[in-house]
Amino acid sequence: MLTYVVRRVLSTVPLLIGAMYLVHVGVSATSDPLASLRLCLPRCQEGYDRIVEIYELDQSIWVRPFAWFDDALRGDFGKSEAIGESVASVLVERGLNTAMVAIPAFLVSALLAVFLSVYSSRRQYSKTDYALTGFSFLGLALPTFFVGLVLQVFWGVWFPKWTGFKPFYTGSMRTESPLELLQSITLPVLTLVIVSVAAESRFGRANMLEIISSDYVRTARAKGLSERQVIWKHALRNAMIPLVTLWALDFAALLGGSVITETIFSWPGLGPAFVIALTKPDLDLVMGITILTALIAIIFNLIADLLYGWLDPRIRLD
Amino acid sequence: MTFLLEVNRLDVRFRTELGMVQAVNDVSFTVSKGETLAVVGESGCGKSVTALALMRLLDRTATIQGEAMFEGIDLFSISEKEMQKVRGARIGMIFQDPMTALNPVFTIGNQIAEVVLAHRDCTKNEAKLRAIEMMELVGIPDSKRRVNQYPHEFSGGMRQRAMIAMAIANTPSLLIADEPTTALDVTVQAQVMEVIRGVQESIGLTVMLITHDLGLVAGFADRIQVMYAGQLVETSDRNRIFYETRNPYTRALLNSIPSQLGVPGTELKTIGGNPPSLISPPVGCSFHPRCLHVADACRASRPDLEAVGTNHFSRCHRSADLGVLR
Amino acid sequence: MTDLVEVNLREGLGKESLSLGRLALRRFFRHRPAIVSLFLLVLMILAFFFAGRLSNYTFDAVDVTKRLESPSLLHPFGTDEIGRDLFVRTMLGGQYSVRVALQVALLATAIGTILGAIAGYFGRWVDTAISQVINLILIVPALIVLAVFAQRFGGSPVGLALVLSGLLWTRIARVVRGVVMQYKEQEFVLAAKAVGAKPVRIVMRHILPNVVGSVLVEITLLLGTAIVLESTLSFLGLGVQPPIPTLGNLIQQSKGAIDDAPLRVLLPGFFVVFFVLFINFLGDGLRDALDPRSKRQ
Repeated sequence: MLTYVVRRVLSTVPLLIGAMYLVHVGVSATSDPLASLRLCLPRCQEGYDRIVEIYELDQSIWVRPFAWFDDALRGDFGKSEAIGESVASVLVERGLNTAMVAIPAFLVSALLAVFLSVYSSRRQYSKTDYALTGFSFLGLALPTFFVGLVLQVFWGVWFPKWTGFKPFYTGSMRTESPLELLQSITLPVLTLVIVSVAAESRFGRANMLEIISSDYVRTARAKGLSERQVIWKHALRNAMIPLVTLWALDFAALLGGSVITETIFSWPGLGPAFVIALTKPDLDLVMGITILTALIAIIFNLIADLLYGWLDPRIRLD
Repeated sequence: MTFLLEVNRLDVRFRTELGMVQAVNDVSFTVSKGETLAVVGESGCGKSVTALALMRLLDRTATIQGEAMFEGIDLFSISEKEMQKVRGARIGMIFQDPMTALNPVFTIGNQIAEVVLAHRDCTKNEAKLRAIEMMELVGIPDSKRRVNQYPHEFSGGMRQRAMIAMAIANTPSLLIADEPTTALDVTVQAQVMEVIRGVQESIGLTVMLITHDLGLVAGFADRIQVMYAGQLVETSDRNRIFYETRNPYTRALLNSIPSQLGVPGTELKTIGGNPPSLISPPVGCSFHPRCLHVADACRASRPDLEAVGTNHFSRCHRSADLGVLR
Repeated sequence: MTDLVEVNLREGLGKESLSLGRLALRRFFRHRPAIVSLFLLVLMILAFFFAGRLSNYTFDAVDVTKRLESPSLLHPFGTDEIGRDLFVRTMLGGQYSVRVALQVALLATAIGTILGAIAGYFGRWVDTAISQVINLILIVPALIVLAVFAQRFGGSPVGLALVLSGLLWTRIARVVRGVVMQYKEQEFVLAAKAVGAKPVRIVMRHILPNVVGSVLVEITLLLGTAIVLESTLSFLGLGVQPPIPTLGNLIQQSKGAIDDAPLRVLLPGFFVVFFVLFINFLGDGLRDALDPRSKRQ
């Protein structure tokens, strides 16, 4: 098991470095911080030169990443032109806000997906099963921004209009009290959960159905094990294996989804910062956020791989 | 004389997209303590379904009727919870493909110990010791180490032995073996059957062996019952089935076994035609379209299972005038 | 039930036997949601491209005296916050969204099939190289990477299509690679090799026909994903830029009026949802028709 872990970690390192390099080149290639300054030349030559110096625009695009690596290893991720603080502090502050939404959303949707899959597969062809399958099918067709907007309209416009009170905040982050936090966090989290659960439970249900009709489940029943043991021990253990990989991929998608939900609900996370940074362009901040999310995604993938190896003994002895 | 298992008028039907499939049709038989009963027939004749029905392992699309008296209780009228106490403890079952029948994510030891823990009040350690004991009984070498290994680390024959160990760990009175050797190499088949025989002798087990391999049956069965299209067509003791069969289907089945004593160059005998549809079976005897001795009566009505000798029953209109078929 | 069982059952019941291709087609037509969805989808696409002509208004005709009107005979969807007819705008937006999605599907399928087939057939280092690229692209959050490129290149529909294809080819490639790897070991391929057939011919003639089914299913998923990504990026202001309307940027532009006329703001979004819904049903129907072993409800 240990050799497996070491092997997987070691093979991820070049992936991380390669990803960071490519991201840097990609971001450099697609942004042009001098765009607005060109128009005012030669008047703003000083400002122009300053930008060229900061972003090393005189160097080849393939060489610039090394300078970034150099600085990054010392903890310097540059300064955000748009916000005026160091990129590192922006990442931390906003990153925590994003985590506040992303992590609960991930946990809730993962747990819900497991329960729905088990429940649905046990009661196949029942009315509840059809309803749940229908909802998850519908959920797959809903873009995240649409779900967010609908929730915002419902809880922010219609519900208050009909009942006169507004249980959830739809446009801000309130941290004055735990209750207020909960009220402002609910809708963004709910948006992400709806979209994730739809896909995960659909897959999970199909997977469980296949497993329930497998030979080893039949053997487990032939041994006289209770239905609970058959489902929760034998079936689920096998069902988790592909589900874990799905969760890893979904977390990456969740990071992307956060960009959307945070924009809609005005949640001060990495999302809105990212969008603003792109339009400016705030090169260092775009770089910081992109690389951070890429790294998190790669690391989560690694964790999923390791979990997969732990859950499925056939892989380990490869 | 009380039998260990007495099945009366078992009837199993499945709902499918294309109609109602009659998989088992009015099957009755007995199994005596200590004997080995072989249930033989082609694929789709209903032999596996019979076994699964007895264990109540069929899914919801199946409708089961009839009675199955096992050690004094009717397996079909007890609750699911009570049936769970029977499975794995009083009746053990092994299946065809040990690779897919064992859970790939748990160790062999875990899976054997599990069946012990489920039915006995003992500690995990005691269950594990029992697992090792069972593995030794079925001839798995180096059992103390192998008890912690996973199914994919075992060979096919070893896996089947592990399945047997799992099925007998609680010393059941009956072992149902559903095509235990079909998925194995020929050389391994005999070994596994020897294991079953050995286990049978050492713990006094009754065995219901389901297979389509008549050759296998010849070495191990005490009594044989032949099934076709969901019905029992002949049942008797081994020698009489092989040497004095009264049923045209059994005869055809026996003729189709390739023989080492045959003349090289002769064609292999087959049974012409196809097995009948179980959704819309033919009128009359279900074998008549392929029978070499078919007569008008066969086309008209379904024959009953009749005695054609002591402890020898056959389902054929013409058993009286055909006599022993060679 | 599997093909073989069904063929045998049909024979047993005396019904005519069908080729496997015909069986697939027959199964497809039995799948009612898929047929209905196909019909509605075609209807919707036709509406996007032709229904706008029924109105006298153009998509950019501003008339501030008629702001935020409710739906009427003249303006079937009402008007937006500067008086433009929403029906024509939505239809045109749908047109562009569908166009982008179709372009993406075409390009991504082309690239993905070629690269996937190469990776699957030749194996070893070629496969490793291509697979690593695919893995990297699939691991990183799509939206974030897309946002970076879309902001720069995705202002026009074609540009956005190119950017989206650059990411979405990977899914097709993975599927094609899987099928090719599965089939290249089959005996009929070995037979072709033994007669001296060149790799290109082997792949194209013997293997690819088996790939078609899975690719078709993936294409439906791809269309859905493409239109969702397009509308999301445009909604964030990073995709197709006005004045060209897409279902995404229509919402983005009218977002301000969401408190006053929420349904009208969300209207283009509903079209996206229905498009994806129909496409998913279609994909389901195709998948069932091609692999009946997958249990459907």
